[in-house]
Amino acid sequence: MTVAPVIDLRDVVKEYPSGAGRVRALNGVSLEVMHGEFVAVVGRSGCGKSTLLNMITGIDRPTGGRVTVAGTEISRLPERQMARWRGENVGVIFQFFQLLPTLSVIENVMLPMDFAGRGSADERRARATHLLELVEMSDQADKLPLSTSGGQQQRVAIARALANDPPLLVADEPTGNLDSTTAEAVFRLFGELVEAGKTVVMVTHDIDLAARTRRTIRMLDGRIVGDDGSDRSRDLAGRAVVEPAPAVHAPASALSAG
Amino acid sequence: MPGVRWRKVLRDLRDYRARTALVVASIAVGVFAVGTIVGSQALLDRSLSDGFQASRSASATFYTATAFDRELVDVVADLPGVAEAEGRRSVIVRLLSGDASRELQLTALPDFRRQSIDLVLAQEGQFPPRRGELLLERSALRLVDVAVGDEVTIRIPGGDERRLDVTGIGHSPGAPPAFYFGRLIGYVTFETLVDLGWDDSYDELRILVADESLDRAGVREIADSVRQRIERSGTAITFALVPQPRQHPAREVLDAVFVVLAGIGFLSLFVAGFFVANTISVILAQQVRQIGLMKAVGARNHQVAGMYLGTVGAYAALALAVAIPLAASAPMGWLDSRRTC
Repeated sequence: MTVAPVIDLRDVVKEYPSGAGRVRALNGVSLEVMHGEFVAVVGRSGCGKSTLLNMITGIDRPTGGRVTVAGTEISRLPERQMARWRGENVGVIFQFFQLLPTLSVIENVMLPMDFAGRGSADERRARATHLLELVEMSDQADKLPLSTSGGQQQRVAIARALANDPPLLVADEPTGNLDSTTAEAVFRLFGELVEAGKTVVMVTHDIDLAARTRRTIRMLDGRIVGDDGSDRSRDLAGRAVVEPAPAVHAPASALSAG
Repeated sequence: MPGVRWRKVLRDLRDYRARTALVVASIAVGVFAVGTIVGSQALLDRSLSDGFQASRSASATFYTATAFDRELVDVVADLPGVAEAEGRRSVIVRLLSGDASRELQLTALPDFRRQSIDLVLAQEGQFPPRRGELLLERSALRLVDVAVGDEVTIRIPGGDERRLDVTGIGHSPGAPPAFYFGRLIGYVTFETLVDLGWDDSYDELRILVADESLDRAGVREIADSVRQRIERSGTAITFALVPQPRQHPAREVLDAVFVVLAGIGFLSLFVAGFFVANTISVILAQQVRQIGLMKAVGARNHQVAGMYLGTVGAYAALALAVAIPLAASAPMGWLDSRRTC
């Protein structure tokens, strides 16, 4: 039986207009990521890593080619359906955390559920509390984000990304603004999520961290120039591919909605 | 408890207090201006109309160059279409107050207790005035420092000075206010007028038409027949006044003033609208990242738009909560202050 990839990009091209003419950020990128993979995307600044993530999350649309994520061809999805689709299928984690400063930690985690209209207010709070326990932030639940450390904010951002129980987590430089110890903790958290069944795609400049995932995609000038795990990815679908594998604190059931 | 997104809206309002206060104040000023003006106009409409109707304002007034007596008044009262007729006498003197003097119109009524047209109403002190006493129209109090119980000096034509006791304050709803026209109005008996050197004849004839529903043209027809009758008696008419029936003399002026004021009020509201639009534009510019983030975690366009429209709604609700009670009470306060003058 053929297992459909969670992410399936076919000949994706993305061009932007600029003063010097059109700039091609992605130049015929094709990529398959299977369920349960932990994929690192590396490359120099301006090579197209963030544009690739924007294609996967539907934040931006391709100029050419096809993008299918979690079974939906999002390159053709109308804008009015895109936000709902994103809220249910993709958890996005940013380098600078992007927590809303006037909402408390737990309210930030509840926000995606509020937009998606999932459950009652009590159920949202219960799930947010559960997710904060998972990232070891439940004791900070009522604090404002700015009164917590960078590492703690990134943990909250991860909890928020998990709020609607999406199958795919996409992280853009999630450790780029953290010290090495905190970055290690966040990376381990991603490993646990992969162990629990999530698919994680992470853009990073940190070659050491990228090396600890079994699949690393290298980009240069809008093209994928290296993919050390593509041949195995179909065979490893559904399994964690993190080295060294961290202790599993979060069983798959713990991440399920409700 | 409101949903998380609405908590963000409320906290943004709370955390940016200065901005919220400015926007609320600008809307409130506009709403207050428009509300006060519209409220004042409505209140004044009702107040003027009620007061004016109660005063039994004259359908027509004839000012004569030669004096006439009671007999002509009775003849006119019996003419077809005339319900009531009343003769009066008005003279102009000067009221001396310190180094200054002001023009004072002294009007003598034949019987204060049996008035039927353009009623002079008691407000304070003695009513009706007795011989040697002066009843001042209340609008005079804004121009001269006189109170009930004072004795005032008046200068009659020829330069002689006489003294009158101010024993009461009255109100004549149809009389031109002293503070607009600069002329004080006072009421005396014919005996007082005679004491001051005039005779007890009339030089004004006021009538009320029998049919209260007549328009101005209908009243003019009756006024013409009255004019002819007066002139047949040998009395020369200086001019005849036929005002718009059932309408206060100041109505047209006030309407024009209110149109101008309402224009200014709406302009301030319009400017407040620009201010709000500008503020929301600044908020949106400041929160582009937050909006992007909210969309990244699943917010749909209408949900994000709803939050910022909610912000505008909150500004409006706060402004209305401040402005409406003020706008509602201001016209009453203004009207009360008018009543005391």
